[in-house]
Amino acid sequence: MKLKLFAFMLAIAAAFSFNANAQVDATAAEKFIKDTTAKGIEQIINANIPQAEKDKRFYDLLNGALDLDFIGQFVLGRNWRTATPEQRKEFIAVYRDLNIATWSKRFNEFKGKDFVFKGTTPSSSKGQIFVDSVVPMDQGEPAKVVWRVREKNGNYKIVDIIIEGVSLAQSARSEYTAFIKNNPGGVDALIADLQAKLKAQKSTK
Amino acid sequence: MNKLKALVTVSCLVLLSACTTTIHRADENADPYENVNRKIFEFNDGFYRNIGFPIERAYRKITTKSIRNRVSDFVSNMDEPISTVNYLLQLKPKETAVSVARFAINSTLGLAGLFDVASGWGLEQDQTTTGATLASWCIADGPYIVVPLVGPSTPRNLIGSSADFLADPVYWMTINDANYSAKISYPYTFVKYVSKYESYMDLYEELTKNAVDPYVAIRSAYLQNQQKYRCRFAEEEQAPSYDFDFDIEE
Repeated sequence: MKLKLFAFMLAIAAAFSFNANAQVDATAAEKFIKDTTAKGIEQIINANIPQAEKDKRFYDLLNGALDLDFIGQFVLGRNWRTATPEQRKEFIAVYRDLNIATWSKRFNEFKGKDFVFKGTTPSSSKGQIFVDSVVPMDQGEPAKVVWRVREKNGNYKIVDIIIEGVSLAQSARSEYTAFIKNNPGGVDALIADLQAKLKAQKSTK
Repeated sequence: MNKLKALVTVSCLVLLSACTTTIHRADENADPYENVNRKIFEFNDGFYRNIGFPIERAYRKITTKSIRNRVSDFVSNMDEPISTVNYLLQLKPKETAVSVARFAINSTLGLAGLFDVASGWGLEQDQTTTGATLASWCIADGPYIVVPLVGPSTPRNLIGSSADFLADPVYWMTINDANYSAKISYPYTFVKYVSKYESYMDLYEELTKNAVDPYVAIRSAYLQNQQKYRCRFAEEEQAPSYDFDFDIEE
């Protein structure tokens, strides 16, 4: 009897977890990534507009498409819990600007290239899905780019970009955790370092 | 007979234990020699920036994109037989056939490999290595190590890349003749690595430029990339390594 009850509970749990993952509409998630990359390529990279306008459009596109509050909290790892509200706010602000500046530059390197979409793969995290794509390169093997998309209240946002198996969120988390552990200044030192990098990036534009 | 049984049992146990340790988490747990590795990383960084990258920049300056593409296609084609043998050892018939076809097409219609004609026909380049073969046979990767001049590696990949280096057809075709070694093998090896490291230079600079800890940035990228390898005796299909639990408290 106990076994039956256990099996029933397991079945209920499985059904719920299945529903949780099934909530993400694969077609809609893939369309969201297709639209975002198409906008970036057609309306920004290939558009004949001044650089200042390109920067503005990139900011709006990436700020809307990337869930930087979510990613920022994830990459700070366990340090997020101990950070003060001011530190959190400052970290998210600089993380947002640095990411947008970096991605604008990376996107520019896709000039003349196209993303070829290869469908989706389910994720073990609730409400998330992977959109698979490849980018044919001038030389050698095509680059594999996977987009981790999170759905919330019918809205889709990118929470991770995985290039050749390397998750940018995981990389940042490893790096920031090591930096905070090895640096007596902790989160404040990390924020100051990122601010300096952002400033340097802006001045070399 | 008993000895044979014992040998088989021990081999199976070794393989099983290797299976459980093949996949590392991409963090400091995989890096027990961090102190030494960091010192070698700093040395390598200085070497790349002061010697390696200036050579790459000079290579870009004296060649056009088209010439560099021909060199890179030629080098890739010379490496294709190594890939064929490894796909065979990985028991992947489809990939082996594609690799054979690519070598045949590019060596002839591609004018001795100068042009990658096969890619245009849908036979895209997807080369493999001895390191990947060892991984597919469930050989554990071991700890993260930084090799002087070479960069990030693991004992498994160091054995693999040494085997790939020695298997280079140009190397063994000229090994018995000192005159040819000096005139062909050494210059070819130099050009091969200048061509291969040209794209790595951009990647290295990109990864380290915005890093708050460049050592960890490179280690994390390397170890994550290595997790694409799968042990062929793994009991069940594993989820992609990047499908980690990605949730936060909201």
